[in-house]
Amino acid sequence: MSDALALIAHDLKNALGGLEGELAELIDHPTPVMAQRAHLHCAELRRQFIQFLTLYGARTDGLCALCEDESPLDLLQALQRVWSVKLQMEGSAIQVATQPSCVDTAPAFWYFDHRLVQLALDAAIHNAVRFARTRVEIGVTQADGWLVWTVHDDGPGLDADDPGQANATGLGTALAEAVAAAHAHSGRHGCIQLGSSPGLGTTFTMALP
Amino acid sequence: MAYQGSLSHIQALIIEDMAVQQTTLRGQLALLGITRVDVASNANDAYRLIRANKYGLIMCDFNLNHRTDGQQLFEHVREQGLLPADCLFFMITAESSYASVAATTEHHPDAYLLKPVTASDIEDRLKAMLEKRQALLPVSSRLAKSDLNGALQASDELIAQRNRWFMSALQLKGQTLLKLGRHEDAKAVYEQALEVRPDLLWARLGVARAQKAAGRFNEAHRLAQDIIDSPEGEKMVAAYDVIAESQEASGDPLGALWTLRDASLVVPSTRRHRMVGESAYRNGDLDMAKQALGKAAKASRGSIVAQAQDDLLLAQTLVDIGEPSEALRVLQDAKNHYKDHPGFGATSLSLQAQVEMATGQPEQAEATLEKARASLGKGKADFATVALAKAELMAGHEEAGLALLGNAISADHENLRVKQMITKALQDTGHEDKVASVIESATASMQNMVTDARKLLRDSRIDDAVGIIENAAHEYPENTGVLLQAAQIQCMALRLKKTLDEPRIGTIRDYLDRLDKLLPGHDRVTMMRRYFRETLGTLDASGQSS
Repeated sequence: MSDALALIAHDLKNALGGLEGELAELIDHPTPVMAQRAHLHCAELRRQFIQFLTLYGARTDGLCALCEDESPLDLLQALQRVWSVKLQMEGSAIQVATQPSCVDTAPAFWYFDHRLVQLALDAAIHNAVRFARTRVEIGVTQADGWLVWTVHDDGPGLDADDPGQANATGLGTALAEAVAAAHAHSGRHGCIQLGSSPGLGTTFTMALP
Repeated sequence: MAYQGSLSHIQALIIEDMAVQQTTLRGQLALLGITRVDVASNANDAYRLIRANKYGLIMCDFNLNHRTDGQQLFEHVREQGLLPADCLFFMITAESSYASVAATTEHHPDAYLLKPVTASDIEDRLKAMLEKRQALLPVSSRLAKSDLNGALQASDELIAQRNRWFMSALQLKGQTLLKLGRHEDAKAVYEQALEVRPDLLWARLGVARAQKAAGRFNEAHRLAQDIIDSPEGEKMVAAYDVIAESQEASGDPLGALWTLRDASLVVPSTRRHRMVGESAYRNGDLDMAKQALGKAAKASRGSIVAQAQDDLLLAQTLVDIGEPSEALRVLQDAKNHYKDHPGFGATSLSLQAQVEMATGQPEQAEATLEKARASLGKGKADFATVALAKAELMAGHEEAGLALLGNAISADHENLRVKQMITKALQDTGHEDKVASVIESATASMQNMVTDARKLLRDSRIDDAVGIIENAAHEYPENTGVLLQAAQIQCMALRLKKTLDEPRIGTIRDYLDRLDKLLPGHDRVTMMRRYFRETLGTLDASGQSS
């Protein structure tokens, strides 16, 4: 775990270097567009640092999930709102949508750590948006005593080159794994899965007991 | 569906010691349309503002860089009843302290927000909590009015919907049933919750409390111990309290002391040190009492959670330990803080007289005693009375001292804590031989009164029985044993006479209200309230059928 954390910290440092370059350029050529881009990158970097610190805090005893009864649908819809606004601000054409069937299939409540699950799904959506061509679809449903979250993109699939390789840290996946594992109930632990078929995109799945 | 209304009507309070954070939070609330915002930079200012205003939202930083942290402030205003049912309390914590803060209490604020807090975090949680409050309002509004049966019905309606708030409704139903004295039903509700989630701490604690209320103290102890032994419950101080209360109720005050001490190690708050100090003193562990009370007094000095009793009992402990000059220093130091505190002066004088006796100034002591006597009324079952009695005994006024102790017993003859204090006062002043006679004779005379009344009732001399017990309740208005008996005998009189006698019902209500103040949340009072309700129910039913 500590090796992975060191690699992630290294990547974060590089991203900070990128931001520093943008800010240096802003001194010479201040433009609102440039400032906005730097601000977005800064906010993004902060998001990654929060993920990193969450993982870092968990390096000895693992993450501690404090589960309360929560509404899975509310969390999903909140994520969709935040991402729609964010993508719009970035000028991206990619849509983030909630699977329509969720309204009927999501359980009224489930026990999970709202903050951790939000972090993990946020990271998964972040990944999916990088690969997606037009659309990311998020969903939640109940199956065999598990709460199953899905994040699906319509990108080229898992074997494709990462178009945003420079910004990827592997942090998101490590975090989602740790979050899923931290959710335990009656001897079962949560898990994540990535599956894809060429041309049909990739689906990230996180199942919580 | 999350709350969709506007947030602009909400009046908010920010409690935060860092100016930069104050500005940030204020700006974030403004983004949500919340512009009526007050700011407090410490717990004392916050306390003053909360008392004077009606906030809809309180955002409090856990780390206030002061003696009182956010959790202590939250528990304090909650216990004082200063948080209206429609006020949301959000605690802002650092990632590093979140888990330890959240794990130690069953009384959670409405939300924990982790730093760095964003406006959308606040908005999400605010809307979710407003929705929750709205959904649970039928239950909580009735609970706030002490309409327990109404609350029970409303929670059943909510449970039947099996919606998002199912578990919250179960939790409220369990609490309501415990308050109604229906511990078997409460247990069943908590077990229903445990079927959904076997590790739910509030439900496991609920079962333990139901067992304690049923008088199954060993079982309550075992269940609470299981909670403490589990990784998620090891810091749950409420479980320690269930154990301590079970131990005390089953005649093991020393065991209760050690349990309370363990709890104070888990959560070293002023309140916890105070509980340990008080118990340690009664149980004669003066070193532990000195240490715990010293911590409580020192840590809370000048803060909202400070209590004069910490310093007074600390001074008494120091006198008993043989450090009278230290005791005097504590009293003088405390005087500046509790000038206007009712009761501080009188007890402080009694302790001062003890100090003067212990340091060989009998004439001074007599003069001080004179003043102490003048400021204490009829003896009660409290520390002030025992402290004066002890001063009298130390000064050689045996008769006056013993009479005061007798009064203290009569004032609440079933109060084991007072008996422990009185026993100690007699032992410390070389009157071990009188422990039995003082305590037993006073207890016996009270007991006889009760026995007489019950015998008259058995002989169908209802009015005579009521007469005796009414007199006793009048003479000893704070005697919990008498009040419980009086309530029961009056209820039996209602049943025997088969009429809804309004003045009598009013009298019983008065007894029960007094008991609520004297023994807040006590199982015996809960059970007597239940008996009273059942009595009224029986009479109502027979009235309708005839």
